[in-house]
Amino acid sequence: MPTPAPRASLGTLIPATIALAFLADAALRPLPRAAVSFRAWEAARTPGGDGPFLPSFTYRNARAYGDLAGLGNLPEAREIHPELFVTDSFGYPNPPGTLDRGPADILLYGSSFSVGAEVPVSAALPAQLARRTGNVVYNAASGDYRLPELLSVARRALKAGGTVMFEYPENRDPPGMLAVIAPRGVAACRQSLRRVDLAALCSRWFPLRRHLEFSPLAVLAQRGRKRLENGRIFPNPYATRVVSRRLSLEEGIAADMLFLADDTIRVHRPPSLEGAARYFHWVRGKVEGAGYRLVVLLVPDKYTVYRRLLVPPDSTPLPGDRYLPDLATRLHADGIPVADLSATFREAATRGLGSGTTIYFRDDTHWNARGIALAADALTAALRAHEHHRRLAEAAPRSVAR
Amino acid sequence: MLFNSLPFLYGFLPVTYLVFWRLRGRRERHVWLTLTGYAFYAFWDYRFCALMAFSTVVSYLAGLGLRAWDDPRRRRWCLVLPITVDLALLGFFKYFGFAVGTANRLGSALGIPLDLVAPAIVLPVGISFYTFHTITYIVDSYRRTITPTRDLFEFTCYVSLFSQLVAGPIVRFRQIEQDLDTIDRHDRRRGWALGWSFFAIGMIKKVLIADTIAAVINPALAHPGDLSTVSAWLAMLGYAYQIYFDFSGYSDMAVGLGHLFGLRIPQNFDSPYRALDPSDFWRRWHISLSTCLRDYLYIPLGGSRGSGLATARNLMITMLLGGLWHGASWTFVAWGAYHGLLLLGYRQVRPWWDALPAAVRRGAMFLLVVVGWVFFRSPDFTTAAMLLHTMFAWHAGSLLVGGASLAALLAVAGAVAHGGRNTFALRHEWRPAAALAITALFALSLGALYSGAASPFLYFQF
Repeated sequence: MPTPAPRASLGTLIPATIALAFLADAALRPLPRAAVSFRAWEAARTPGGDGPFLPSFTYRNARAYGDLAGLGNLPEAREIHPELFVTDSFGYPNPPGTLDRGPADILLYGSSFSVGAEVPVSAALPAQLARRTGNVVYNAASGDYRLPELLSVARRALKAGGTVMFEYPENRDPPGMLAVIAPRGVAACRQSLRRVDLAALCSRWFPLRRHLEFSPLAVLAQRGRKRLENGRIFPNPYATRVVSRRLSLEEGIAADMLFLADDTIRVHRPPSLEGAARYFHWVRGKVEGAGYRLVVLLVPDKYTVYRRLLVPPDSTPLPGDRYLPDLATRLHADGIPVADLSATFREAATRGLGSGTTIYFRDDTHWNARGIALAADALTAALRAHEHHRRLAEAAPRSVAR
Repeated sequence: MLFNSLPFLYGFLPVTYLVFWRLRGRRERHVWLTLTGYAFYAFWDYRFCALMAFSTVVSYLAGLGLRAWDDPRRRRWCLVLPITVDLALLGFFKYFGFAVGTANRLGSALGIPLDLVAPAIVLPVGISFYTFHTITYIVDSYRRTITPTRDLFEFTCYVSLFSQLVAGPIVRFRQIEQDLDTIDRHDRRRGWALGWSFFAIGMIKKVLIADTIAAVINPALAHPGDLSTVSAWLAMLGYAYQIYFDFSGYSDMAVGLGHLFGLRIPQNFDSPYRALDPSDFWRRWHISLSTCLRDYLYIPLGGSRGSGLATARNLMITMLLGGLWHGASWTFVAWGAYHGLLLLGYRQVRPWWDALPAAVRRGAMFLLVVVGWVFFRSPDFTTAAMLLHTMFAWHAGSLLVGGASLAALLAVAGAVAHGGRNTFALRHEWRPAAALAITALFALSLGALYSGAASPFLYFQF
């Protein structure tokens, strides 16, 4: 008698597969984000947390690469570099002991440019500025523009009469003028649980929530998928987010430089000058009202800086070209100290072509150590000029009185 | 919420399943499936739950009237009123903007600028499907084909059953009535293995075949003017397989989910790309819709009982409305008209066509269907014309990105669609190697879901 062929039931195998995937996902969730992040920003960022980044956190990655290479899924465009990113106990990007000598003289506030996660701590803007001015510089940059947060950090870390260095990138629309912000994340949790005396739970819940919301298994699966979506095996759906253009560095040497696709469009439609000017007036009112001085640093887009140097060049006159210079002129006329890096950066970019150097990472939206050094020089000069003018202004009434 | 999503697989399905089988009573199970149906629906837009509830209650009350009354006048009211309400809702949410746009275009073509403004209306997902559920229920009750239920929750369970709610199949009450009546007597183990087998195959068809093909053809079809003739044909062949594996995959998953709860959902696809002629195609493609159109539109219009001209008229009306049912756009109407003409043409050449070898008829029918998909896939007639021109007038050019992968996928999809057995024709008793292969492919599908590849089913928009 023939033996019946063995049968296997999908009624066992399929639910077991689902259960195994669920368990694998759950088992991987306690992993820190740093384990599957390609750079510090994703590893350390804590939206809704007490600080913008994980407190007292150190991120090391010998094989980090730029955000544009990641965003466009362009592994061949990666510029592999080591990354070391540290935060203080409040979750701001400062090395330990920054405030050991007392409150800071300068507080830097701004975007991811000021956070400087892509460069070594010693090359980041606060460190370079501290070396040039001899001042203590505290980095309060978070990538968000929330004035109450700025004033709260200033009260804790900046000495009375100190300087708030407000860095503002070209590709940013003027933020909302909100003097009070609704609590979110941990703060919102604490507020709602304060009455029942359970606010302490929030600090524990928040890290747990980070793990619940983040699946390392999903990241690994996405990586696998991106390897297939390389523009050859399958179309690369991410490639449209990034524009790759040729940059002729020196005689016979050319390199591809990546730009955020939005930035190449934005240059045709600059943000409202009026809106930005109103915003900075409002910021100055609040900062000076709290007893500090304001200095604005305007940072141009990579595309604005390089577009005339590309091969072929994009030399059409565009309204966006004048946005930062016009804003700087306007702020200057209104008595707001301002350093606009547009002209300096364009000049340095042109100069760099001969020596094969750039001031922005080729695979990232951000400036590199060379660019930061230029920014620190410009800021130092602006600070000194402002100080000089302030002294003259203070001296003038006395001489009249005499 | 999508069947092919992690929240569904890890949360919704296990909870719905475990609670369902913990409940013992008929009423409790009906209530539970109703609640889960509404919860499932609310994941898209909770505001439209009220719309579905309204449509359900109106049809339920009409059913009670049809059950209680023999008076023809009253019965006619019970027929006309709920259908008017259902069609008015469908018309407003799905076709109002389309009607206004058409009126504006017509006005400007005639030199009468109307400039009518249509409010921005969000299309409630699945409205075309649950409207058909309620309409078929009312008509069948009126025709006394079924006895309308007195049990409100049995009816709400029928309309809002999550497995068929948003993209069908369009299950008629009489097809599921018995299972709903005996819902407290089902054997949990009976449909377990069969249900998972259907579900796994459906998931593989959707995620690994349909979505992977879409990843190659969508970027290509976004710029049809840049395509070469070879690429245009590859892209449209890809779309033909994408829509088949997407929708039949969904239907398989729905059938599988039904089995897990002891409910037998009817077959919706019967290897349509093996059809020999246009009539055969419509007996195999989206069976639940085509039989509805036949029973509730074509036959009441007179069917093929009158003259040849009357039959042609009935056929064209049915196919045009069938096209329009798929979406508020003239390209869908054109698709319906195209298939209507194919059916009419077939009636004229039937003896000649039927004498051709089966392989020739199958191949020719498939190509005719692929050409029809051009209208279905194109957002407007300009794009459709461009695509047809590229397909039929030689355009040199490079192969689309991922063309080699697409060719391999088409080979697999073609082998399954033309040569493989239909899911309903399978015995679902697997040898260990086959079961492991299906499980491995299912695991790969889960990996694709983790990678963020989950995409809605194409028929959700209809």
